[in-house]
Amino acid sequence: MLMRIFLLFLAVLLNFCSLGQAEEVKGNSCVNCHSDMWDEIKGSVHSQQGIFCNKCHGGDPTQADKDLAKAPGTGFIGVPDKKQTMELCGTCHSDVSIMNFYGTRTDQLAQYKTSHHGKKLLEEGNAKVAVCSDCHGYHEVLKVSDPNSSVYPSNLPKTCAKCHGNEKLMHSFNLPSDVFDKYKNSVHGKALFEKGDTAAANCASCHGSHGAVPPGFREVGATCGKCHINEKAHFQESVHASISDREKFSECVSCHSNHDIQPVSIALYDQACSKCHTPESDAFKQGRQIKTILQKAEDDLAETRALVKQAGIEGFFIEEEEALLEEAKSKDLEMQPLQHKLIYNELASLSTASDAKIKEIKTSIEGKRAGLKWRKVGLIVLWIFILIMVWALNSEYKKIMAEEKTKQKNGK
Amino acid sequence: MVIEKQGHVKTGALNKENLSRRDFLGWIIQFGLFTTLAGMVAPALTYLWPVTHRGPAGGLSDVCAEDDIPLWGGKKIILAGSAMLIIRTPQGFKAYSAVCTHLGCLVDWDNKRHEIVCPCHAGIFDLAGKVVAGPPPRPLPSNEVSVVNGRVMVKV
Repeated sequence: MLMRIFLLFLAVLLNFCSLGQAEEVKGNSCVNCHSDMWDEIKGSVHSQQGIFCNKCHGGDPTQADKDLAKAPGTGFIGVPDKKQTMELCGTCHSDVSIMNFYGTRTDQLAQYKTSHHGKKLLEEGNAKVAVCSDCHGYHEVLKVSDPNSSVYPSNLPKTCAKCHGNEKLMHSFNLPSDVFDKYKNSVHGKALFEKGDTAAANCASCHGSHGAVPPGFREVGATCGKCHINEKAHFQESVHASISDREKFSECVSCHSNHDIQPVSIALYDQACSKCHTPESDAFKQGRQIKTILQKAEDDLAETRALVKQAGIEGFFIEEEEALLEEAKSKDLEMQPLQHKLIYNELASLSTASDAKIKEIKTSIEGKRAGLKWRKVGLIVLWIFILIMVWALNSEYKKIMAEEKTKQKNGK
Repeated sequence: MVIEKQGHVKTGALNKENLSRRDFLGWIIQFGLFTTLAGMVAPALTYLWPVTHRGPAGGLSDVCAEDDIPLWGGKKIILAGSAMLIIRTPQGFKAYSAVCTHLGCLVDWDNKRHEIVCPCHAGIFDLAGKVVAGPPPRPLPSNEVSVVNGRVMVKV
């Protein structure tokens, strides 16, 4: 019964809501001619909040006659240009009293004005640059958290690529147009598109969104360091940190590049160091030393992991060895951010700790294998004993039978 | 045995070889029978023997004494093939997997900040094992802890 009342109440409520929306459309004469646009608007975040055509385009939607609806004095502006778009969006989106209710930031317009997009538009009057509607859409604006939104993390790179992948347009700004292709194949792009990891860095993570600018020499480390905290902290203690202060060395980018960053690999020491250091230099030799110790740690861990796996296949209980392997792996992983410090001794101390765990694993598995050997010897001894027992019992049986026969003969 | 004794009585010095062979066979059979019997009786005795030192029941593992970990202290242990972190708070003991959910580094307990910190990529977990900062995608798995007779027991 209660369920029926609830369903009835829900039906009435939904009907009431749809009536309200229908009335809104009914009172909106724009829809009479632009019904196709209404299809775009009705699912947007704005229409859900009662924000319709006239808020951006002006005009009087209560007038049934289209000339009266667009008459002077109604504020009708038609399709706003880029500057007008920026200002129109900013009317609400920079007003704390309006946006506070939605928990939305109000500094987007201020940030946009500091961006390269904003500066080109406002200072140079270049209307080719992106404004709000180029990224968020115009009629069909969705919440950023909506996976269908053009600025949802997994969609954002493609949205930026609408312009930044346009060779002709980018050429006019003297910018590369292959950024998206590079990003798509980078470690970040693969994490986003292939693994669906929306926490992976996208365009806005490094460049900012509304205040989008390319990070400069000084800012690269801070940009990458937002996520790669330990790498940044260790880098700050390296010999390279002081070079970056002189703007001769672009922190992370000098070794890892920017848009096409590949998964970390020891091979990077072969590719990156030689860009600045000659093979005869002390710095290059130090780099080789570090590479060697990292390579050794990686190889030893791989070998030990295979050893533990093999021991498991052979039937040994390997819980303890697996736990030790976790410890060795942890030390090796600690070496990865620490290498940015470029201090050999600190890496060597972690490597020694890892080696100790690996030695413990090897000793333990060797002990178990030796134990198995002795158990096999014991099994052979047991089999021999069982065979002797069989032989002994058989001999006794024959003797008893022979004696029985003798008794029977004597009796006869 | 009867057979053996009969052998002793009936045979003379000439059949010494046969006698010793029979003795040997008898010994082997006795030993084999005794071993078989012992193998059967031993488990029965073990079952009947009063239990004085039984381990904790219900999958609980005794990891340390209560006093081994001071208040707001932490201890890393190896349990069931994996590293585990035991923390003592005023509300009691907590146990979490010490393997970071990011890339598998072993996390440390920061007793000053009361946080679990991963030394590799700066992942930080709170006292409830939830991710506070950094790249770990999931909280640290927790284990049930109880204190029995001054011993810290962790359910695996």
